[in-house]
Amino acid sequence: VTVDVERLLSAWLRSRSEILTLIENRIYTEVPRQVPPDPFMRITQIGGAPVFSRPLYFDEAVIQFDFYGGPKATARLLMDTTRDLLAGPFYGVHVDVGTVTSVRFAETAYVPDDMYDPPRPRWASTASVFTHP
Amino acid sequence: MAVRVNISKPALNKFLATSPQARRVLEQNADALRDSAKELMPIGQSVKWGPIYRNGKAYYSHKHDWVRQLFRARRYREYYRVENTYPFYPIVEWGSIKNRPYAPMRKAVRASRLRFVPNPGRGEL
Repeated sequence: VTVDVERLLSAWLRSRSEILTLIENRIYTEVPRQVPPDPFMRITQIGGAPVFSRPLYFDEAVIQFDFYGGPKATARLLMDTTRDLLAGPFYGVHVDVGTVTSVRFAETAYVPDDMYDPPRPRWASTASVFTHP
Repeated sequence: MAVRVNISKPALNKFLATSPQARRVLEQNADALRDSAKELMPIGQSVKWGPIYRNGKAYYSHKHDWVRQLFRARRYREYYRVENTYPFYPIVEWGSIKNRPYAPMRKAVRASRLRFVPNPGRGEL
């Protein structure tokens, strides 16, 4: 059984006081129909593949984080705080879920959500999370 | 021991401008990336052309085949650009609050073992 990284990330980030002070528990894998107030975070798995097929043990999940902020600076602060946490205390054993062996950060971009007028400020960041059960 | 290679951009540009073989390799890679992005582009239930009518309203989907056909690779100065000319393509790539990100271009770049740099030239990364 491989690790559900979306679920692990959302649960773990909700337990961190640094995140709670910024966005309370507004961390979603699917944004609810009633769109929450800014700032909030969405975690989506956009890809990934097992490192080896046999044994099916190490897994890579490519995750896109969307940080929606009231002002742009809040979104940036949220992104920096999250990445700082993922680069440090996120590593290691998560009881009953799995073990995080590595997090590799990739592209980061400021992509305002144009579906709203005015566009909602959003920083997007991608990271690969390596896990095993 | 780590080795750092500094690439002189003017020298690289000059090399690409004067070497048709190198440009041909770049072109082939750009075409491969374009085809890969096309393959990874989502085509949902709305393969048919034209709007989808729901509750008397017309909706246009980003998951039409014609959006997929708008990927192109073209020469830009000494390099090649892979792009999609659909104005709302960023929604397919990055998602929005009500649309999940499908990221076909980034998946293609990752599968090619390349590195995706958003907004190159603007110095953001």
